[in-house]
Amino acid sequence: MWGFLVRRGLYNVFVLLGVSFLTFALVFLTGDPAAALLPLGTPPEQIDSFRRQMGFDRPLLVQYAEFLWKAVQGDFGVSLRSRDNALTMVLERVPATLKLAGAGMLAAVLVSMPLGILAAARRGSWIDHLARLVALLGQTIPGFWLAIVLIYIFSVRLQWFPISGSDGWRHLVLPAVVIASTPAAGMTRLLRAGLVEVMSRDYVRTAYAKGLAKPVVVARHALRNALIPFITMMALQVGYLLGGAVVAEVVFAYPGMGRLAVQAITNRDLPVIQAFVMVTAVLIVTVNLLLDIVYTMIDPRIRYE
Amino acid sequence: MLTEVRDGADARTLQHEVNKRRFIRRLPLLAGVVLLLAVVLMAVFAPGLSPHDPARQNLVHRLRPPAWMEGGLPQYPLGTDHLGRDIWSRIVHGARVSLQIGGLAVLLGGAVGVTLGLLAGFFRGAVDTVLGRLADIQQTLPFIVLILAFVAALGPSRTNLVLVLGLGSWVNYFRIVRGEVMAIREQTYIEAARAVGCSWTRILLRYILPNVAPSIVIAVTLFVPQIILFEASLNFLGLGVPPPAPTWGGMIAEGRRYIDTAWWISVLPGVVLMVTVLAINMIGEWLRDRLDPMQRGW
Repeated sequence: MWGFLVRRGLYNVFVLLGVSFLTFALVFLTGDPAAALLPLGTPPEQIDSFRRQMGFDRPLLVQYAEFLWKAVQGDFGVSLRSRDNALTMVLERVPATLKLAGAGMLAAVLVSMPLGILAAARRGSWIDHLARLVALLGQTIPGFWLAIVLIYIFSVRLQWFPISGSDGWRHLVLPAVVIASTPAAGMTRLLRAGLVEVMSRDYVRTAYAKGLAKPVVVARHALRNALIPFITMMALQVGYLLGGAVVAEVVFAYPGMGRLAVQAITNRDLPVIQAFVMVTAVLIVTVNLLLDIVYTMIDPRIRYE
Repeated sequence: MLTEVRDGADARTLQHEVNKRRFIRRLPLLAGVVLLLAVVLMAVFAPGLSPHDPARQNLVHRLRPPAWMEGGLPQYPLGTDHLGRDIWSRIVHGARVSLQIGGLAVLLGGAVGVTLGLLAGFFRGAVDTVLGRLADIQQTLPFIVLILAFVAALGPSRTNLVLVLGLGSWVNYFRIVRGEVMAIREQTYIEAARAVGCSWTRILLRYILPNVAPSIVIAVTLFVPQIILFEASLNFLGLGVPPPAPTWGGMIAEGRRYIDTAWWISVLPGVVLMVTVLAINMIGEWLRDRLDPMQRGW
């Protein structure tokens, strides 16, 4: 088990290194890193002296090593706009985004679990068709459009939920529904497919033969075995939730890191973008590590490896 | 399922019943094809279909509702936006932008992903390891975050959008093709081809590629809708095709401020976007059922 966790840990460090190189390379994709990091309209002489000062004329690998060394210490430079520490700006908004992503995950589980289970338990019934429709809509409706329609119905017309902002759970409901729509679709599909497959296994037939009632068989024998891929799927959806949060935060004027990133792009504020990309990667890698630990707990095949 | 066995007299009604069921099963495919065709034709004949220049402003007729509503005008069938531009003309031209960018991005991502997937699956070894790691690193980041990072560096434009969406999605095709090739290369007919002295390019293109083709088709139907949605998201965020070019995402964004008085500005382009994505999804699901009968999903 420890061997497995150490291997996975090292692998995640490697992935983070890769993402850091990508982040580092962003500045060079602009064509001229010196010009990209200075406000638009800076005179050429000033750009030249800045280029020498920052060392953009040195070999790339040397520059990457320096970038990495600083990044590890939490230094991604300062925002070109506000002159604040770029990483601090992003980190300050992480809790809000995590709260939103957590609410989204909750919503996705609340929808997909009952739908997936009922659809599999009653194949071909109306609830199966309903689940299929929900899954199809979830992967079809554009999040930002759903957000606007929800605001119109529930905030403008019915006035149940606030249009924007971030205090209290009421502010979380609509954006959480928006970011949960796509993950919920995938999770419903997966859970149903997994259950349908498990239900045809011998041990399920044995359980029926013992005289157990269907709900007991589904809950105790089938669901447990369909749950491992479902948990994996949940972890994979964290990326979708964080990605969806970017759009949802903009529409609902929610003060998370996604909204900060979009503002930074509009201002061509690259240090903030770099910090945002790295923080997102660290969050996802952390979730993956947690998932690995969960595996060792729920799957004996890994524990005794 | 037909379980009853009937005698000859009922054969005709039985056949009729089978035909009916077959038709019902194909209904989603039919609907998908018809809807997608409609959107494609809309994009192709955009100039002929639009009564107005999509960028032409007419402040006298701003915020007009669709023609069937009170206050609507017949010359603006779907109403006008806050600058008095014709919604219908903008939707039609938006289809052009959306399908062009989506199509080119899929071609680009597909070409890169399929080529690398063929090579990695066939040669394995170092090529496979390096590409696989690269794919892992890229997939750590949510697609939209990856795209945003590159748009931040390159700046928003039509070309950059195609580049970013295309190169960002190579991984999806790569993984599918690589896995298939790994399995196919062990087949006896590949061994035979090798034994008679076929070059590896010939083996890849003549023997392996045709067998991977169904999976590529499935991959395309899976990712085209996603690419179109991501492209619309970027335009919605104002980080895609710069204005005044009409885009569905951009129209939805512009209509946000008028949602309580003029819902049609945001809602109608959203409906067309959804129909497009839905159509491709329906075709894709039917194809997946046909080409991959092992799958136990819906």
